[in-house]
Formats: sequence, structure tokens, C-alpha cells
Amino acid sequence: MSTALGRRAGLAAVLALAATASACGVTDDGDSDEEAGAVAAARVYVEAIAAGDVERADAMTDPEVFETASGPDGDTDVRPALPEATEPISDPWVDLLGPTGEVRYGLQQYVVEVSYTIGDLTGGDSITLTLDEDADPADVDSWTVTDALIGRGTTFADPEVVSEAELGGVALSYAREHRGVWGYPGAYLLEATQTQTGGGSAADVDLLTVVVGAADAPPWDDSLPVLGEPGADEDR
Amino acid sequence: MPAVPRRKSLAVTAALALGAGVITATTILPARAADDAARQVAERYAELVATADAEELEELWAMSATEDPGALRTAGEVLLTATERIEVVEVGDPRGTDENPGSPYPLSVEEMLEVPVTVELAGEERTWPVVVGLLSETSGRDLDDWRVLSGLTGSIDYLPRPPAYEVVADPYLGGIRMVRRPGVPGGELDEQPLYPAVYEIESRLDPYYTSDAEPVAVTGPEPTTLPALPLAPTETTTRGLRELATRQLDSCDDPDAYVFDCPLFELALELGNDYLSDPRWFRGFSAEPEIEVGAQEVTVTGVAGVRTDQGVRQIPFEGTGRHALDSVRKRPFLYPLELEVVR
Repeated sequence: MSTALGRRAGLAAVLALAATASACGVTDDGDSDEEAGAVAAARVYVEAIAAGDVERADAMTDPEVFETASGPDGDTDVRPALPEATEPISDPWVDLLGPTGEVRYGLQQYVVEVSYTIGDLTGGDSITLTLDEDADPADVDSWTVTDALIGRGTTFADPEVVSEAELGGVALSYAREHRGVWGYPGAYLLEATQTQTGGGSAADVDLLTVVVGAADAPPWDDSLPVLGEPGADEDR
Repeated sequence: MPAVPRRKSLAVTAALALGAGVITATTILPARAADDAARQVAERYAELVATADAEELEELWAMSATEDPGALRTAGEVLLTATERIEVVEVGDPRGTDENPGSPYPLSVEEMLEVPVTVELAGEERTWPVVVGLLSETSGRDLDDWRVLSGLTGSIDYLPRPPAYEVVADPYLGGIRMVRRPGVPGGELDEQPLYPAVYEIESRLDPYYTSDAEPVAVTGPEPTTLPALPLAPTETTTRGLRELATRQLDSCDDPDAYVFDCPLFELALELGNDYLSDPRWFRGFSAEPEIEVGAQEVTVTGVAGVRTDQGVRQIPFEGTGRHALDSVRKRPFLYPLELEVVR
């Protein structure tokens, strides 16, 4: 009997030690299936944008995300311009941050941080991916982007010269001097397609590069690039 | 001692040991392990700020949760250009904090700990409060369970960008143009975070004007004062301004030029030149005039033959003309030279 009690006491001590050992060390738990799936889906999504695959990027995104993106100023949706980007995003970095507060209610929703370069510029944002109900987290198609990698930019044109323009093939009209745009990040060409009467040929208006989704303070000699105004290099 | 009480005593001891072990294992030690992980995260983060090379920038970037991942990425690129990096002196023990630096929406963070990190830079020791946040649904024992919410980042107090069309030089840090700057006064706020380090900053209006590169030390979270960066003409501009000054002087000898374009004309009038009776009032320079291009103005000295009311005289002259940047034509120009007789 005393031997049995001793064994129990020893077992208890061993259990306590084991619990202690497992609790006190810094560990590497690795990603859960959901975390690994969210990162994999995020990578596919970002790579699609880098490759100019607007159909794939759109298909992965909850359409509701786009419904309010134009905002109160009625900014123009230039997502379809993605395949025409002159400088798409490159070298994307993707990092899983963690779950949103929705995880408490059983929703598998994760925040992923993304950064990229567009030429010499950098940009980035947090995106959110949500796992469909009872879906396989390892299947990329089980995930929906519920907060998308959408960038914004502003285009300017001289409305006395230019009435219509295109950004990567997406039509923009210029009743006033500026027009906000939103879409997938990248650099796009802004091209006049129609000039006002007496404004000359649209083909003679210099092209401008507009960056969407990257910080870009205009350099001094390009302080406000305006379509339809003399180019900076004209007199040099 | 009787056998039974001893057995009871053993059983009680075992039960107590088990209970204490369970409490320790489930409450105290996990908290300690989480603290250790938080401290190790802050330590690794500070090490990377001190020593990260290009291969490690992504790891440094991924340790933080930020509202602007692009800006933080640029901070890493700029860090590689630093002329002096921090040395980590000490990483203290984590403690709870009520300061909420915020986390990118809608990330859920369970707990925040502040880890004091003491670093040395430019001969100065400073302790930064590095705040790390525990991601929801994690144990806290894994280093990846934590993200830096408020770390070793400061900034430079750039002047707000002026309204459009107004020419302003671009600041370059380590040769990288700083595109994140405050907007026009009252406009949008866009800040480029910078890891603590000593950098070289310069101001440029490529390819025409540039300042000397000056050291600037980002030593704390408060915005660092921008050093004075006076612009001076580049070699391209110096060459161009010499040509413009020469062109003004050469116009004196050009019969097709407008007579008032000649910078010596006013001077000649004061000396009694009657240019209407003698269109050849200008008789050339006795030697090539000397032209010096300074930071603000061009200085010209020389001797010219000019018909005066006392006949043709060799007149020593000197004077200056201000140069500036034409914000419409986007290139430097030279105001008319204002010359006077050297007596």
C-alpha cells in the first residue's frame, strides 16, 4: 500500500513537472490549418494582382467590397485597367497577422498584411480573408477576400483641353479638373481620347503616368501632372 | 509512527504537490512563458533594427502590425543606407501597459505588454517603450503570437508640401526620395516612419539644384528637426548659367539684338553714350569677362570698350544677376545682369 501511494505521489510529481515543462517554454506552435490556408489564399490573390489577372483577383473577392468603393466623390473603378498596368506590383511581401474579433463567434477570418513595390515606390495594406462555412481551409477557393487590396489615386486634366481620357483603357471624363480613381495597385498610363473644340488632337496630348496604391509625392518638376498642359520637358 | 497516518500524510503531500503543480503549470508559468516570448520578440526586433541586412528586412517588416505596411517597408530600405545604426544595450522585462498604440483594423489583439529597450545611438543612450500585442486565439508562448504595435520608429519633421505649382525641393534620405510627407497645411497627413539611425539627408531639384548631404540622427519617437539644406547649383546649372550670362553679354555686340538686352547699355548711357548717333557704341571686351556662379547669383567682372561723351573708353565693370528656377518652364533662368563701373 505504501508503495502504491508512493507511486501515485511520484506520478503526480512527474505529471506536474511535465505540465510545468510544457507550459514554461517558448514554443513554435506552427500555423493552424486555417492560418496556413489563409496565407496560401492571400498569396494566390496577391500574385494574381501582380500578374495582372483581374478575373482571378475579382473572383476571389466578395462583390460587396466593391459596392461602396467609389465613395461620396464617385471615384471611378479602374479595376479593369489592371492587365494594362505599365508597372504592376512586384516583390510582394505577405504576412499573416492574426484573426479578427469575429473568431469569437466561430467565423474563421484573418488579417494579412501585404506590401509591394511599384517601380521605386512602395505601397501596401491589410487585407482580410474569410473561410466559407464548413469549407476546407487548405482549398484556396474556400477563402473569400472580404477586405481587398484596393488602392486609390487622383488624375488631373485640363478640362479646357481634355474632355475624355482613358486610364489603362478605362474611360474617364473631365468636367472638372480632377478625377479620383480606385482599383488594383499599379502604375497606369492616362491618355487623352477626346479634346474640347479647338483643343487640338488628342494624339498630341502627352501621356501621363498615374500611380494607384502607392505613396507618391509629385517631384518638383512634376508638381501637378495635368493631362493637356505643356510637358515639363518641352523647353529643355 | 503508525503506518496509516504516514500513508495519509504521503497522500496529502502528493495531492498538494499535484495541485501546486497544476496551478503553477496552468497559471503562473504560462504567463511567464508568454512574458519570455514577448521579451524575445522585442529583443529580436531590436537586433534586426540594429543589424538587419537586405535579406532580413522582410522579417523585420513582418514583426510589426501597422496601418501602413508600404511605409514601413520603405523604412527598412532607408535603414540599409544609414551611416550609423543603433546598438542594443538592454532589453528589460515586459510589463502590462494601458497605452494602446492601436493595431490595424480589424486585427484582434488580446493583451499588450511594454518592453523597455535601451539602445545607444550617436553617443546617446535612450530607452524606448516597445509595445507588443498578443494576437487573439494564441497561447503567447510562440514568438509569432506577438506583433510589435509601437516600436523603434521616429520620423523627420518635413515641411508640409506647398500647394500645387509651387516649386519645392524633394528631400532624399540615403539617396531615396521621401514621398511620404505632410500635405499642404491642413491637408492630409502622410508620414514616413524611420528606424532610429544616423542618415544622410539632402535636398534636390534634379538636375539643377542640390544641397550638401547633412547627417540627421533619428534618436527618438518624436519628429526629428530637419537640418537646414541650402540649395546650390549643380554642375549642369552652373554651366547653363554661364551660358546665359555669356548670352546676355554677347547681345551687346549683336546688331540684331534689342539694345536694352545688353547689360552694359544702362551703364553706357550713364557715361554719356549717344547710341542713336552711333549704333556701334559697344566696342567689345578687352578680355573674356569672368563669370562666377554662386548659390544665389551670378557675378560678372570685365572690361569693355564703350563710346562715351569722352570718346571710346575701356570701362571696368562688375555686377550680378540673380538666378532662380522658372516654375513654369521647369528650368533655371538668369535675371538681367546689373552692372556698374568699377571706380
